Amino acid sequence: MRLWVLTVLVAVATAQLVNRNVNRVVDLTTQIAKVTAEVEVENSGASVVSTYEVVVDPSAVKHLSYLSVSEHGNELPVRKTSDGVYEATLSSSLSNGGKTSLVVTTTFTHSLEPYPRAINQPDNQLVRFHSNAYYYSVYSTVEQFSKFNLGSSKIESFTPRSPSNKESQTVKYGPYSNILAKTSAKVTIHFENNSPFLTVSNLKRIVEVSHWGNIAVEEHYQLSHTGAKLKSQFSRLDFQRNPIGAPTAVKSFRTVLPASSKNVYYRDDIGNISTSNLRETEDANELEIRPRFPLFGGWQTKYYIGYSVPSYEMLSHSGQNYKLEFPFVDHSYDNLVIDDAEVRVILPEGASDFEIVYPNYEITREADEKVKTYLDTFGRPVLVFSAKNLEENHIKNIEIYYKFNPMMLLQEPVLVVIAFMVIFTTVIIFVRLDFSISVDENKEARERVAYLVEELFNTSSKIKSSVSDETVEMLATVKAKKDPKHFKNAKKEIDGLYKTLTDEATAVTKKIIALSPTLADRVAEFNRREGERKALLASISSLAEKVLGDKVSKTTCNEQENNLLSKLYTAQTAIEDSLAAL
Amino acid sequence: MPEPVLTVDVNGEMDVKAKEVLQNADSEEEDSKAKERERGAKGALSLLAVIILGSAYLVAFCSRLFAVIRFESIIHEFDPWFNYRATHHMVENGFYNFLNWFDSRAWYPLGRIVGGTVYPGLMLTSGTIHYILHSLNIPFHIRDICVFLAPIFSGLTAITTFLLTRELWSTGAGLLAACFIAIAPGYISRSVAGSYDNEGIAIFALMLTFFLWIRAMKKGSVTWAILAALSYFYMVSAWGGYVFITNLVPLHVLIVLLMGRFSAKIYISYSTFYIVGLICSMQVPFVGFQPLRTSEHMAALGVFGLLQIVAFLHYVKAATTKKQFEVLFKTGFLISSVLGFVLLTGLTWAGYVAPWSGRFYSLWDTGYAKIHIPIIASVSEHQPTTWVAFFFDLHIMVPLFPAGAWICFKNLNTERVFILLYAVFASYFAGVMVRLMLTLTPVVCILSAIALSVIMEKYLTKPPPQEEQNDDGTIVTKQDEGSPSIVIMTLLALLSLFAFHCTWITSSAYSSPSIVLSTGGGGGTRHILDDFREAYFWLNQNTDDLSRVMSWWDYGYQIAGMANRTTLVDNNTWNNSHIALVGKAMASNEENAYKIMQDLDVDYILVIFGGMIGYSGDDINKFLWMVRIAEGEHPQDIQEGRYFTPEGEYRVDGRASQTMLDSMMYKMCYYRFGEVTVDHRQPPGFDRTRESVIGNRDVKLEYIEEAFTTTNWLVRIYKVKKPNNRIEKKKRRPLKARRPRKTRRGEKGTVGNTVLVSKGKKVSTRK
Repeated sequence: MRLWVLTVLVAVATAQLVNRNVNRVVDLTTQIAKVTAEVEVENSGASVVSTYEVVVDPSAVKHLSYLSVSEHGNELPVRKTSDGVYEATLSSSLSNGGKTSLVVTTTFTHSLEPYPRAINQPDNQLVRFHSNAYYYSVYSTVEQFSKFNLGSSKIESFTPRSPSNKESQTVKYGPYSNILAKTSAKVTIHFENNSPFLTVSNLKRIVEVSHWGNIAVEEHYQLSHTGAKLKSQFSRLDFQRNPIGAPTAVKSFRTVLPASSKNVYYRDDIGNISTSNLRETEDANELEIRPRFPLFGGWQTKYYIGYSVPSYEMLSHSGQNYKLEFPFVDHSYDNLVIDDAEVRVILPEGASDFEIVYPNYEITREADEKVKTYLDTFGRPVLVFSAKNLEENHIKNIEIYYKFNPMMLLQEPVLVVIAFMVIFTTVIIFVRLDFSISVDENKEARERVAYLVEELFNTSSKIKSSVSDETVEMLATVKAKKDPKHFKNAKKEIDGLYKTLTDEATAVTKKIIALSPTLADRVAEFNRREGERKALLASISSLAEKVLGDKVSKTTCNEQENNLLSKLYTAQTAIEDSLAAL
Repeated sequence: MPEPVLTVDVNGEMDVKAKEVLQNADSEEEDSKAKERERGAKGALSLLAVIILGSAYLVAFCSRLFAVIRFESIIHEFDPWFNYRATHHMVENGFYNFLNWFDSRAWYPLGRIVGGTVYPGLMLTSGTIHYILHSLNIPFHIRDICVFLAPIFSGLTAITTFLLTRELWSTGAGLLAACFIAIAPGYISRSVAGSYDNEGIAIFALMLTFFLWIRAMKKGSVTWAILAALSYFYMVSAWGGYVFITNLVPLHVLIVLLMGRFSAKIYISYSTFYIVGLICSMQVPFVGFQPLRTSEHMAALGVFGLLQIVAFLHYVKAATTKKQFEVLFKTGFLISSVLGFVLLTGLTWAGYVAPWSGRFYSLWDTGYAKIHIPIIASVSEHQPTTWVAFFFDLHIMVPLFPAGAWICFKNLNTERVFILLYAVFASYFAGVMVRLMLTLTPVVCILSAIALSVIMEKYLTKPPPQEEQNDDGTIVTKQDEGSPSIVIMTLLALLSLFAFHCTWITSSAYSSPSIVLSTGGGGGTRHILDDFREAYFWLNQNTDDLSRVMSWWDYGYQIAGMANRTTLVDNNTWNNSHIALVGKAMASNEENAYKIMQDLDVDYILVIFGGMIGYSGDDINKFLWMVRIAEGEHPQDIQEGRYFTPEGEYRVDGRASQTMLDSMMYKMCYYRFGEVTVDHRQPPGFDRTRESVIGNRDVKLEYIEEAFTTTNWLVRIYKVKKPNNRIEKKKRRPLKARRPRKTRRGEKGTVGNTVLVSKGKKVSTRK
């Protein structure tokens, strides 16, 4: 144990104030060291004093996260003068002999050092805490007493500094009397602490404001377990067999979301993390976050959560002046520690004249950015803020004032309407108007001819399918049944059909020739072939008649039939060919 | 009410423009009122067609969303993860960087030249969509675009199928075909949301190319032929299955030639298509000079040559007498075909033209792969199709398909020859390989639609009343009733059954992301097993960025995609010997495996173990393939027979062979599993998948240690221990790293990469 006695001359010269009595409680039950010092201050100098200076122990300055001074329950304005030196303005000045009592609250992150640095899966975590046995102050202290709450009765060691003693879960130093200003006596407490050592090494918080009634919040976390590292490897069997067998592992934690939050999601780069539950209570929505794998010392994970809140929760306005008020960071687990936070506020397109009221801690405003999302034309303004080393006490509201013209809301629907109108108009114009450079008369004629040829083809194939096939069928039935009535009917029907169809065909061929005389030869060819077919069909039906009248023997009939059929087939193919030639 | 679409008559296929032109021509004769009415009817019909197509598109899109609704918007299975990763890389780094991408995180230590070994069509498509959306300020994440790409393109496939069928038959059949392809399970199986794979867009490209080809061939138009070639180019850039087009189209041309239906149209369309398509396809880096150098592409070249000869002969025909020509033709044909064949054989023999690749041989001989390329045979989707699968994937289309083919055959014309050829070949290939069911499905849909359309046309149009003369000479009109409505009712019932079947199959069989499993608990609760992502994300977050993970090749893409760690082998399977080496490491005992792993710089080993929850697709069940593939390359070290019991059984229980019990895979899967009681009715160490108690309940590991095991033990990760008491190379530090400010006392400083010798650890006395 070493003791530093710093020069007290300067302190004595400036200090008119004296800490009459200091009662300091250091809470070490979590990963954060929370120091609450109740200080009775007296002005022993001659001049009137209106400020109280708070100095943080130089060895702990780098861990300092939060500092506040309150007088009779009212928080005092605190100004940072240099690193680790703060100046609180008292509510009323103290004249000679004047007394007041202050509560100085400071919290320190990463100040509990796991020792040993690496442990096995079932081991408990031991941590060391280095501190000052005395209350560190620029003023001399008359009477003081310190109590370290450890939350565990397993205390490995602590640096004795008489009078000091340990009780079941606490270590007490003091009372000490007449300690000079800036006196420091380093003490170390080594004890068990199995509380979750979770640190958000990087938080990116995006608040997107829509004036249509919704504010979307998305938080990206890089989370690591900063406790004692896992020495051996992870054994799932031991982990499953004994649920309390891994005291330092973090299996799940609870994130409190605003009560009005909706559409909550919890994901990471590779998709939804299905192991989560959302419990809705009266005051808040509690999201139980279970990382994909339990977090052991030295392990880390990454995820993001998002939700929407109705804009009336955070947004208010008078005329064109809007005020957005929301917590700079929000609860993500109990006793949270955030190393680096970046908050991006995306305001609606057209918002301008920003004024910001910060909460009482250090927030840096970065350069503004622009982002373009759905239907944006010139981009939405993005205000970027950053802060370091935050914890629960920093969950405080930031206020952003801006101007916005509500008419801008109409811009996007109008844009969509115009876009659709343009599309429809283009289509209408394109379909209705003829854009060809020169009117091609021949082309039209050709198309007509092509259509007529197609019609002719259809007629011809109809002839084939109805008339010619029916005729053949008729012959077959006649051969089988020899029913004159049926024959008569069928023949009548076929002849009628044939007549109409050939009439159609002739009409079409006439039209074709009229339109394109050059095709006359081919049409004639078609007509010739059609004539052949007609003759063949006629002979088939006459054959049928003969059969009916028993004028032919069966063999000749069959012979003739085969003959005629094959001829018919070739004729039909010829017709198709002649049409194809057209 | 019967579906009105089906009554669209044959004239429906007429170009609307032509019809209008005709109407103008006939305007003098026709009554303007009738014209108006006809135009109205025409408009109503085309509106109906548009509405039906639109609904088919919607149905195609929506029926593929089961997985997204049940689970989430996530990339499925294995290959899609690589495609997603590549797309992501392209979107982040630009197209040229993507083409030049050397992926050092795959195939360690070889690496993979990604740009030259992928079909970039898929990535380009989603990249383009992403680009367009972002330039319109619509900030869709590329993952969502990838997930929904297949459903979007399935809708487009329905439309192209409609166009193709309309070319082949009629509008009515086309609409039916569009509806069929929209819900056919054979196609859905590869195109659900999240199944971000080449096939998703390739079937669209296939149908589009076929449609454009038929159009080009019918019209003999250069424009359409070039469009067909461009569509073919898209297909080439998207899927290796483009070879199907490269062979089918020339075959069609050849058959048409043999049928004696040569025409200038065929000549123009094929020549244009072939040349433009060839040049375009050679622009794809992965294809390169293959179209000129491999046997798969020779048919197209041959037919192109033949077509030139035939065209020449036709020219000659006009200038010679018939007899002269016949002689010329016969000799010319004979000589040229013999010459062509000899030339091709010669070039193949000389090595200028590569012979058919192994994958293609396996198409002709189903036993080929099992003997020569076990790695292809080990993939379940390369197995021959079972009969059940046909019914499963096609349902009522199985009987309708031949009927459609028959109808097409009865009414044969040039374009129907094509669909018949397609039908024949696709059926054969689908029989050989389950995977190729995919190419069969569209043609089945088309032909079934034609068959159904013909039936419906026959029965839905009212037959004219039959006049019959009675004996006494009076004429009685008779209306034939009954039978048509029965037929229609039956068909409608079948169709609705088909729709139910498709939905059911899609929801139950084809909509599992396979990286997220779900089990149903009692009372309808659903329990999600997310072990794969748990393990991959653990690797991602808690291992060194450059560490190398050894696993069987199935998980390579997933590890690269989700964990972003270096893998030794992956689903690309281009290097058989490397895979065999990994197989050997898994199959050897710990000591030998350790040597291999040291050579390959392995840091972690990942195995899939299903014995805890009864997941059957785990590594123990795949183990025999690892052994087989390893045996192919290292027959002196690994013999398949040694892993069986003396009776020749593959077991993991007490009767398993010693080699099996000693193998790395066995040890890694069952490490400390002997202490687990999965079921109170069974002794500890009961493997639920194999349903037996494991043979070695006390597995000891010497060279590796357990690093992570997921909640349900599905994924187990082991860390390879560093050698003890051995010369250890100092780790190369990244250039950015700071030098240590001070050297610790009592240690020797090192310069650069010199070797640091440590001989055991000294017990530290310092406190």
